[in-house]
Amino acid sequence: MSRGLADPVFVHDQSLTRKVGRDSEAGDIVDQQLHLLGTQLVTHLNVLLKNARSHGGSNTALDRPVESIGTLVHTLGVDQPVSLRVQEGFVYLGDRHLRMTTHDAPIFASFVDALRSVGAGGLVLRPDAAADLRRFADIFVSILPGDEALERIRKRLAEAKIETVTLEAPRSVLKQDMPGEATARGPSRGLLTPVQTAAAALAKLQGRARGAYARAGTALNEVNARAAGRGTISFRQAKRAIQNIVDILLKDPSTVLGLTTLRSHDVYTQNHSVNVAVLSMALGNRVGYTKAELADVGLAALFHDLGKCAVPLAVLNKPGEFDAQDWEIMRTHPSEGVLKLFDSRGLTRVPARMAAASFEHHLNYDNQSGYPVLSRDWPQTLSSRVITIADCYDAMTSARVYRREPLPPPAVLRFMLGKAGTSFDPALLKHFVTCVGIIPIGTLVLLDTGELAVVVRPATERLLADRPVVRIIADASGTPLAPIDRDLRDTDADGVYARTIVRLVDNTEYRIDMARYVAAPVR
Amino acid sequence: MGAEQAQDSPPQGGDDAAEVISARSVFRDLDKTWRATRTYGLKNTVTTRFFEQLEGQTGRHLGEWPVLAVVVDAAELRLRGEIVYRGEDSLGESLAFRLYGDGVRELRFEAGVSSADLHALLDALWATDNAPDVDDDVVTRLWSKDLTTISFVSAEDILQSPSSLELQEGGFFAPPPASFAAVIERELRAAHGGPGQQTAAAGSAAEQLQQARGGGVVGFEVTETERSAIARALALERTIDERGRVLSMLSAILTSERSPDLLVRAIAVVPAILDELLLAGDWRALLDVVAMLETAHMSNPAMGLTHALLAVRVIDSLSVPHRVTLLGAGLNADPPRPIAGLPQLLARLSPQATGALCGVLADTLLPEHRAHLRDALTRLGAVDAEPVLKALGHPRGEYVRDLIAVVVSWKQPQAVDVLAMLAGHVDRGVRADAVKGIAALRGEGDGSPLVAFAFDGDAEVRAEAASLLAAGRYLAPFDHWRPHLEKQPLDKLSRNDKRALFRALLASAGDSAVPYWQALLGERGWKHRKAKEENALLAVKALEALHTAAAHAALEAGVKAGSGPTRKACAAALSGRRKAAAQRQG
Repeated sequence: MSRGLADPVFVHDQSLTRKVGRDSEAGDIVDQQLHLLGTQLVTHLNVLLKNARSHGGSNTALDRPVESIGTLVHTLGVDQPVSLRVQEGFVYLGDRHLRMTTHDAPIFASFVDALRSVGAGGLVLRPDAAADLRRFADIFVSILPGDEALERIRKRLAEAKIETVTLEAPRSVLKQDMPGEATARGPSRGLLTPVQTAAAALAKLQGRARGAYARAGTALNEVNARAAGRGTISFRQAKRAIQNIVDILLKDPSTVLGLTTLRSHDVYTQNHSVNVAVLSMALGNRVGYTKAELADVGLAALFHDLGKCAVPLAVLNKPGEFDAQDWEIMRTHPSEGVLKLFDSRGLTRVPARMAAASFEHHLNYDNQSGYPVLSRDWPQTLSSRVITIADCYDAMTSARVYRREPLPPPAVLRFMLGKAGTSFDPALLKHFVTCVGIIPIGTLVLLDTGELAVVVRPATERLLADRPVVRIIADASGTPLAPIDRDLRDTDADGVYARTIVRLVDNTEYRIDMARYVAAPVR
Repeated sequence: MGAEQAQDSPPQGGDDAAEVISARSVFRDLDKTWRATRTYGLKNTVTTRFFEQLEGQTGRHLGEWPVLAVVVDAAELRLRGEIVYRGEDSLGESLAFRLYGDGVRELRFEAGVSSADLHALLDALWATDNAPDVDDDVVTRLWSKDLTTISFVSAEDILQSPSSLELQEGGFFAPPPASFAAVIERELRAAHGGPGQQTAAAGSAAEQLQQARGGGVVGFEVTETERSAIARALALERTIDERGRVLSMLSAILTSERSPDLLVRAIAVVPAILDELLLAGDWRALLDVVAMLETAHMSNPAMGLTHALLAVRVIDSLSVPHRVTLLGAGLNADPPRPIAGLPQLLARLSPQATGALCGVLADTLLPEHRAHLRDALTRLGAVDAEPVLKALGHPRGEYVRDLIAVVVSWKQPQAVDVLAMLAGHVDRGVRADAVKGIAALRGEGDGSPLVAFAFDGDAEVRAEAASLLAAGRYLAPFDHWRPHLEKQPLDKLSRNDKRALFRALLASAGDSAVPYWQALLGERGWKHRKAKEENALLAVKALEALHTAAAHAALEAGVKAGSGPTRKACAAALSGRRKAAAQRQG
């Protein structure tokens, strides 16, 4: 893929958690949590460096840490690299904050100091790193701490042709707004300084949103991996990610809603579930849920398809149409999700909204269609109705294994409106349309200037519903542009609109992935 | 304390010095309150006093400096580089570490912090209101409090986003084109009514746009009626009985699902549910779950024999020792659980539960609960008595008395021998109940089980047993009495006790006791002379009442062998007999 101005800056994350459960040993290690493995990795790296300092890289004292690190990296990452990062004294395994206990504290502190001493911000280990660990350790401890230590180490590693272990530079702290920071006495005097411009604030918010979105997906994968086995499921990481998303949503819903345009073919379930969570929370915000309730709804929506862990992959990933038997299996996933929650959490700790989300999200509003087919009336709870709408919208706008062609957002909305009162709560559906916009976020539009643009923010004024904020992606000649946002309500001095939508374009017809433009950072 | 250590180092810079000193006081008070909360709880007077100090100091600080934002490190809190709190050596007892370990990097207080806000902060630190669970930590709890005056920055907030969102590669969507010219051209043609193909999607979108352009966003406006309905639904959701709802889902699954495998899994989650409900002492809910399992197959044709057998096995497992033990834990929960449903639950237990149920009874405190357990053991023990009888050896008096009541209720005379063994029990109440129990189970006949109780250390027990033996309904040959008489010298007993004993001996042993009394008649010597004389005189009385030849011969021997008063008494007794005999002949 050629990189150009219009290309996004996304980098394939070296997060390990997507790999967990995908034919990895970690999926078989039922009760070991990622935190435990990450802590072990930090511990053995500490031992490796200390022993190298004391005895040299070729000493047998390094045998055990080398072997252990090799095993851990393979376990955590399978065939992908594993990263450990240090930021503001916290240690991260991929993007996952490794929570510290009193027992771990000295070990973590030692690791942090070791990296800091050479000016490094992180360490990346490839699955085949074991062969190079001794030489790496030798080089690492041989360089004296100092301003250019990191560069010197990197140079020595390159000279030694060591590519399986890399040191990263520190990342800058992501500065952000703190709530209520402006005071009569002046600006915030906390750790993080306030942003100076609205554009910069938005960019930072978008960065936070991407991070929170990614973490939600990571947490989802972890839970699904554990759900496939047996053992207690903790939703803490997911909860933290969802709470972050709620914070951003309450500041600027469009920022997070834009991320729901992400469609990934081979990680459909992950993106889909996160999108459903985001859409559900956005809709829930409109109907009056409190902040804490929004997080609960979001968490429930994130795991509404938990039951699919019991559906055979051969069915889940079947290309082409389902036959009757496939449907019969697929239709069990709502109930399977409930049972999985019982199994892993026990009765008292089953999150009720989450169980309802799993059980009810295919039930349909009219209580007469959908599944599971019940022997008695079962009205959906409000949050389930919210999630049902979000689920359908995202599913239909996605390309999935068994239905490769997604539908453009406006078409999906129209379809759903046709089902108001049967499949969907009509009042909630109206709220949803307001939420995503009559011309929804992610819609590709042709402007009267000949430019091609994508809707990134729905219209806020009822009477100007056709004037959302759009992101121009190509000029009239068709040349891709670095994305730039324009509010279609903008007029010139004479009050004439600068730009007007003349046509909604079916992006699926041209196979254009709107996520490239909606979810990308913008100037 | 932590903050006091921090005060050893004076702050740098004059202008900020006062602020730092004040901040140190705030965190000193927070530290004290936090520790007191952990040790004593929020409602304790010590905690309350510290809390008031904290509230006061925080208010004063924020009144002067409206924002207090500290950076959190593993062992310290710092205000613009100055340490305002330092944890103690054990990191587990450090407020800073508590925050840092869960990923809080900055903590911030703003003017207007209320008492409720501070309480919420303490609760978030220690989860005092709710039991901590695996889904929460300081960050999630603090977030959920939604405080406007206390905020924080977490590890996730700090982490520079790595833009880790992956776009689709190799799926439906194509790589981004080098030019959109063809797209624009085609769409422009279609927009102007040209020959360009108009897809259904675009067409529908045009209609939608037109509708939107019409300005009357008809159909998308939420009416007041609809808003009210949503508000009602939201209110309903907030008040829903969550556990009941979740159990209803399970019930719906059992009664509606068609997949045999899924039904097996649904049944398989029930044992753990039973455990939880037992532990919680929620008998009613447990009975509902059992009923659900029992009736599911009647309403779900997909349930086959396998499922029915599985369900039966699960229901029967209520009686396994592990579950019965959980029942006991639920019974003794604090605060006590309502009793509703308990008798019905106990009625479902099978004899397999008897042994474990005895253990539950042993540990159960409330009389009302014990009464129900006794009833259950009465029913179950009638089939399998052994665990109950074995448990009679337990040292706890109240428990054994309950068991005696159970045993007696069976009305099995064979149990008398078991109750007899309680003569050596440490608890006098047990021994007293054992005597009553023996009497209840055996109204006459072999009185030997009672003999040991006639020598009991407790006067009432002795009196009861002796009285029963003296009533004339029981037989107990002297061989049963001898070991006790040898162990218990008569000299130690009061005159009344001796009298009662001899009456009992007389009524139950009869002639077999004559040699014993005769021996008493012949006892002489200066040591314990008075006691020996008393014993002898009582023996004479007993022999006199025993109108047998052996008694007569013993009295005659006593005339020759005993002490003076004894010989006199024997002679008088014999004389009395002769007179009586003469009167009868006359």
